[in-house]
Amino acid sequence: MPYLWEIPMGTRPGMLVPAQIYALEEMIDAILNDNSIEQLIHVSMLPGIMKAAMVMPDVHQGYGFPIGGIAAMRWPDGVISPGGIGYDINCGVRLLRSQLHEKQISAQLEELSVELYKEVPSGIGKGGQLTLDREQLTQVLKKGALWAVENGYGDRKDLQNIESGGVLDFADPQYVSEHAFQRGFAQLGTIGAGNHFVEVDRVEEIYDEETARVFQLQKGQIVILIHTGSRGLGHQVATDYIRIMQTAMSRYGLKSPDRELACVPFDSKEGQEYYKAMCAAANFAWCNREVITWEIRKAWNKVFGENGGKLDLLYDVAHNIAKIEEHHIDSKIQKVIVHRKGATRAFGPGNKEIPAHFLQTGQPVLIPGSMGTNSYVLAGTRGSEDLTFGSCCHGAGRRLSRTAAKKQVEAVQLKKKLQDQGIHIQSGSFRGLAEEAPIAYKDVDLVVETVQQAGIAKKVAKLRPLAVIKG
Amino acid sequence: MKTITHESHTADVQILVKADTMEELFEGALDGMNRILKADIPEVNITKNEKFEIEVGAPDQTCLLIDFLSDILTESHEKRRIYSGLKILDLKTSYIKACIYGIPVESFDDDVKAVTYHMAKVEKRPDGKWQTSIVFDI
Repeated sequence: MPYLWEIPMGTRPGMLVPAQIYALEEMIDAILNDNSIEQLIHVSMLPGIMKAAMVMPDVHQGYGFPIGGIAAMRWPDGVISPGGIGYDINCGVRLLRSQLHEKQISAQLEELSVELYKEVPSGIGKGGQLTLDREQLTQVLKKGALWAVENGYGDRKDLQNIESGGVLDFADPQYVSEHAFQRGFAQLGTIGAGNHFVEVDRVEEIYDEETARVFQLQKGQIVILIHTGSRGLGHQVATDYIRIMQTAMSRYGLKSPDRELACVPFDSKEGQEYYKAMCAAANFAWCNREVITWEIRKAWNKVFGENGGKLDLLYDVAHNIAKIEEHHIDSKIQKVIVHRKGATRAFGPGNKEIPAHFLQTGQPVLIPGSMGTNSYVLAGTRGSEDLTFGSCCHGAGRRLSRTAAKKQVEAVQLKKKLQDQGIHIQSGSFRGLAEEAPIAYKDVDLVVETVQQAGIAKKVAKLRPLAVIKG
Repeated sequence: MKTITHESHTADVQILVKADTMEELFEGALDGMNRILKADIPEVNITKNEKFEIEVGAPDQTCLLIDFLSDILTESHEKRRIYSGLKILDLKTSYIKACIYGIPVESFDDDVKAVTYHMAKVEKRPDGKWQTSIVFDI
């Protein structure tokens, strides 16, 4: 069955590389329903782009870059485009493993979801349990998840199971604006709103016993997914630098087909300053997810006490980020600036950038479904490194606009329907609930099937939600 | 006279603003953004509510509008206020100076992450009306 569709380079004037769409045939109509492919063609026109502009099967229309997009630029003089990373810098997902099975927690599931809702601040503009001073926030921006560990809000063992160890050394807080600082002081340890969540899941099915054994996953086990990013601090960094690049790009003789694709050469002054600020915001996001993990562990211990055992970290992945990586292009290893906007790293066995204990299996790749539907744990493959710059999908991908979802879904009924399916919902907003209804998203099973057939990731386990906590 | 209509966008919120004058277009765009942040906007009393002066320069009028809204959005997030009172002091193609009046709110309805340049094009139509689309990242 076909899973890869290509728009050749000459299709539109200005295309520098082909545009590739990874999707099963039955997904194509939905993908063509919005402007995402037009946006992908625009990405193929960015200076320095290598091999192809790509989208994953969860693609949907964004602003400038499509969500689910991957673009690798020649290092060091290809462009960096903040729009190719997104406003929520290092939005990502982490998965915590428990030692308990569903039957051991079912009587206390509701109590757990209430406690998680109380312990993990959610909602728009909600401050966290910590308010940082300037020096503390500066250290968060430099050290990422390590800051949480050094200050009693994290576990040192977690660090080895975070992409890039939870810190990008290139970060430099002096390139983060005062407004971004102001927005970051009170937001560490908060999930925010929209499609961000904390979710208690049961491992529903194991597809690959050997890899699942290495990932320490087994059928019936309780796990917890966290989905959030760099909050207002990251949004402000992106806003600041997209504005700077509107005027800076003309100095480098650059034009983009869409203002949100504003870009500058990576090795330019503005390119370097943005990248240093982006790395700082990415570090904030990793620290945020580590502090949220600390909050979740508190809630877990409060509900289950000594019988609860440990919650340890399987892995933490970023899906809105730019990374400097080495990939095989034109039969040689080349350094590139990989933009992943709504796409997850999926490095395969033997890759030197993944933890030693995953060298035989490939890295864990975490794919959250929509609220009320399955999520997946996949493993990265060498195929992804050959085909998609070591990248894979990041979720189900929206299908309906928020307005359309709200027209079709009555939130109170949705909550009841999910409850009837055994899924507890703790949400601060009925409106937000309707916007994130499962009907608003593509079929995550098909998305995952596509990447499996394409050989860019392989299925390890399917997760079924039991409780969803959101703003 | 100004109108704000919502247009279809898969993930985010897109509005179309039409107005008789450029001043009204700025007022309409701000109103459109505020109504995403908060459906029921509290009444602003310009003699009592907090005000700040905003001054923005930009390479063209489209960037000017987006940057103007972005700066107000930042203030809204930092101070948790809806800035629904607007008094334009000076408006040129690439410059605006205005007084903005805000009122505190408990919370926002939607998390507007950013005002994007995508699809935005401030233009005067042949019928003399000003218009632009604006996509907000939600």
